[in-house]
Amino acid sequence: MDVDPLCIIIVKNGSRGDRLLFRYPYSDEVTLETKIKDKRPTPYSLITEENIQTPPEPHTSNISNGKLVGFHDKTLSNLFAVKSELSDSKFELKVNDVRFVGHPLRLNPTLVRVPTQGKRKPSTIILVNIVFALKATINHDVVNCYHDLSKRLGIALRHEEYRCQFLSSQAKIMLAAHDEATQLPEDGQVSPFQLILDRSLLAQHLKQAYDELCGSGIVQLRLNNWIEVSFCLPQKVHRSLATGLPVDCEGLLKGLKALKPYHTFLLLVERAELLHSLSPDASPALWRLLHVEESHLTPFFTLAADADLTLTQVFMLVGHLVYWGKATIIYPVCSTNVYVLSPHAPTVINSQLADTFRDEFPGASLHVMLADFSLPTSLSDKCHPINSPIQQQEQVQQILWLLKHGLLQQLHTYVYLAPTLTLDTDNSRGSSREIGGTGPLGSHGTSSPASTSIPTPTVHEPPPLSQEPASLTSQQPPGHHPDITQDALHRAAVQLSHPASESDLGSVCSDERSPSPGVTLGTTPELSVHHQLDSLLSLAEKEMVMKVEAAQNPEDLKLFAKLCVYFRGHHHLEEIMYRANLRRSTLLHLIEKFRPVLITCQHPDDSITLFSYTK
Amino acid sequence: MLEEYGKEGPIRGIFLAEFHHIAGPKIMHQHPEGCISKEIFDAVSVFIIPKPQVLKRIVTFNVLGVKITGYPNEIRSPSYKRNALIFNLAFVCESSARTVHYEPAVKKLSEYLENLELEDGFLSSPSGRARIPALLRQVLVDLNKSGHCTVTITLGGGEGERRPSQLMRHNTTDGSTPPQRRLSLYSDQRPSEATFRGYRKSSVSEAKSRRRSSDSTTTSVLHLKVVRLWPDPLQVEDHHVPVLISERVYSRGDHWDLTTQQILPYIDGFSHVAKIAAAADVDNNLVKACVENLLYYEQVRLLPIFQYSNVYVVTSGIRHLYEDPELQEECRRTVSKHCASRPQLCQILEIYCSMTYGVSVRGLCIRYNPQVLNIDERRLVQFGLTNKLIRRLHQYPLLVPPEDPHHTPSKHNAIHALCSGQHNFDEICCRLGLTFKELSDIVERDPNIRVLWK
Repeated sequence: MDVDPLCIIIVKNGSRGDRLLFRYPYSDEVTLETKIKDKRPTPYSLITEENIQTPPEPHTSNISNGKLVGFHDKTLSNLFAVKSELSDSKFELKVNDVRFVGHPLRLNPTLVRVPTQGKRKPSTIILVNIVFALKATINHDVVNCYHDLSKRLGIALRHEEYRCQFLSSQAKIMLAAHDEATQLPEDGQVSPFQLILDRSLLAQHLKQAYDELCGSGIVQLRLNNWIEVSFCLPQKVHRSLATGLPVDCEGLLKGLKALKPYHTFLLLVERAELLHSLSPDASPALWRLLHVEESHLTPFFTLAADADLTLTQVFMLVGHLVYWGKATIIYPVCSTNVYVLSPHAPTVINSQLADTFRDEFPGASLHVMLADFSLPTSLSDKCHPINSPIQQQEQVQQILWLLKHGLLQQLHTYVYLAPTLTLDTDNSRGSSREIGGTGPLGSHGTSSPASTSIPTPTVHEPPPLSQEPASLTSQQPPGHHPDITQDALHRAAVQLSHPASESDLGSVCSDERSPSPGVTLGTTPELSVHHQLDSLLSLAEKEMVMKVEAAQNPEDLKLFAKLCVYFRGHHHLEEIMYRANLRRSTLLHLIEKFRPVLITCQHPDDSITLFSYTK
Repeated sequence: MLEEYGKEGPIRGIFLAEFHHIAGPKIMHQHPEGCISKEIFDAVSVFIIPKPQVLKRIVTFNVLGVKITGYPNEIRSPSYKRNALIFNLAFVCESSARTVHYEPAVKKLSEYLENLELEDGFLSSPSGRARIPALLRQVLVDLNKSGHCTVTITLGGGEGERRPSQLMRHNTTDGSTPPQRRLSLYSDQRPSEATFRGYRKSSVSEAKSRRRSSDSTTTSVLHLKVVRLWPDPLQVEDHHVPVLISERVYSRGDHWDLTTQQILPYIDGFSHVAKIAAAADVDNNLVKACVENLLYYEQVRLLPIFQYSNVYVVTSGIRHLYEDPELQEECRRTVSKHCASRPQLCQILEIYCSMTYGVSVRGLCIRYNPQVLNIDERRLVQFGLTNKLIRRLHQYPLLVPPEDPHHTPSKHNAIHALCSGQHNFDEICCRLGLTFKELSDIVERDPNIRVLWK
């Protein structure tokens, strides 16, 4: 969907009535045409009787060639110079197939700082409205973004007016140009807007805003060379990314809420370029974050420690980067990650991407690479030990490139506890859950008596829903993990040690970040284990679990009891590893032991892929 | 794409505003009383009675917590003070509600009033005005309740002070022809453009007026209908399989057009469009149009063809099957082969979870033998697809020319032309009339073709 604006219009209202100051783009033909129409009908002209029998002309569109047509300046200024009741709030008007959105702002003339010398009269402008004309069919989400931009521009303009009468002086220039254009002889017709554009800084600002909106979708201008107005139209910015999928703000924000400490971000633009484009007064925290090397390998909690920021701050900064289309969220690249071709990947043979890829990695073919990833492939599969480190590095770079362009998605393994019996004996349902519901809830994690040498991140799991009539799970709503308070996370993050040993894969290290040598189990009385199981599983489920051979081993059972809350399909292996502070091998071993009651499946992590597209 | 904002809300109020020759914009009638306050009206009157250039266009604005959609209309005639009657009949809605679906009704109502005024002076005569509140009330109540409304208005007739209509005056000016009433509701005569946008919208606006035999009274009937707007359906292709997702199709059998009735029995959830067309003896494109229509009304869903060579992968939607007891029940009921016993849910879950890259349905059948488990694999796949538990993995053959400069294009040109990465196996098979096996053999043997799965 095309989200470009049709037109940007600035209107003022003041003591001398409403006036359209400037519109861009303007077209000469239209102004000429309106000029002719503008001529007053002479009182002597014959009023031709309209034939009522013929149907009236169907109304033609007010959009032609992506431009706004068919409205006089006077009509527009009449519509947009709103009554004071409507000022300082959102203004939305749809006429025919054009939607106008703006944010009328009232100016208080008494606040304008008048230079002491000179006897200039105080400003007479009492209201200014910067209006964007959009196609009426544009999504409401986009309309809200344009409203936001109008508001930002308006507020900056008001500030400049109060500071140094910027608006008044610009309006003077514009009005003078309008007058001049009307006084010109007919044949030397020049559009007044052309004159304005040549002379007025504000008009140039508006033109810049329009051009940038139509171009990149990111507006960065310095109003009156003083106030910075920056704006991002995410619907446009994200579409121009390689993934090319439509996004909306709502989906983006929702996705950003699902950030987890074990995720990390992948810059979509060159780091140096991004640092260069930051404004001088950008947050120093952002600088620190961006200066952490190899950030795509390090999860947020480590990043936070490295950059000396809190995790919340990191989340917010990354949220900004993602919103502005500068970064995307991934799971840190490591050798066990399994990647597969994304269903949205463009596969057209002659795509631009293939050429870019060849330029980036001479000798490699994008399509061969994509064909390789048609089946799930992990990084360790790709990197043969025989390969030299340089080759391995190259391969990692290629994968990063594919991830950046949204051609790959990562598959995660989810585990479901599905013992045959509970799922199928209808009568065992419901009744069994009652016990689960009334058991000592939330005993998991917090009261875990297992003495580990490393402090376990404290996990507050929501208690399983009790009294679920026929459900076989104790589910939490997806994405709803009021799990770990940010502070606790941060503490945990700082305390968690760094990767124990760099493997021979060099920087592509294994994800087994915690040595966790002392997960000494079995020191607790059996009773508490059973308690735990009771609280988390239904009777039938527990019965089946106890039948598994491995359940006879108290240590295995202990670990299973600790983890079984994650076996509901909401947590992938990596998340379980993070939350329970486990090694991958330990976890896989346990799952293998309890295989008879567990089902595993692989699919992408929706919480982070969600904001790359919306339904 | 349509403006997607909020839900469809009811109409909060309807008002009729006019440009009074002395007082300016003024609310003449409203229902219910106070649906638009005086303050708001004054603030927005510029949009309700706008400049001439904006007349006769739908104008919607959303300010001060109300959303108003109107159609400012104008009748030019020297008989009015200021030579014109400008009026606007507008609907008031919640500021968060969608109003785009009311726009045709607003426009039609406004044009209807225009005609009544030309005919009968409905808006300017006291007798006509007296009937407006009832009209507004009826439109509001009926549209909110049932989404359609039929207004009957008796023109002239018993009303004593009937003033000569505009039209009659036009007629009488040019000669001494006896005054003859003619109804000129052009919404009747005009080949309404909405009707032919697609047959699904045929009932949008269809005004009827009929004349009673008696020459003194004339009844005019207006039909209004609010038609919901859905986004346009997907493009239907030859290889798509339509699956009915609603029972309503049959209960309203005679409701559909003839072609749809003819193809409905063949939509069994397993035949693709081309097959349905052949079986029902209907042209391919007609079938596609019908299926598109059914899609628009959410009666069918399009799925890819089922084949044992297909590969499906599980999606995160599988979580719903694990958690939602209703879905579980439905699933067990749907996929069972014999009604007598239901398959075990954990078996179903296990099969779904085993659907992954590189595992075809055939492979699954060999591994799990669903026949024994009382599971119908076709229904299992269909259920998984319709409920988004799984998705089909498509194969896209891609012609990657070798680096070798002496390479000569081979003879499979028809296939090579389709190996651009845009066409999947289903499409190519359908287009070239090949079976899946033939095509995959050809692709396998060709060293220049790589296959992408996505």
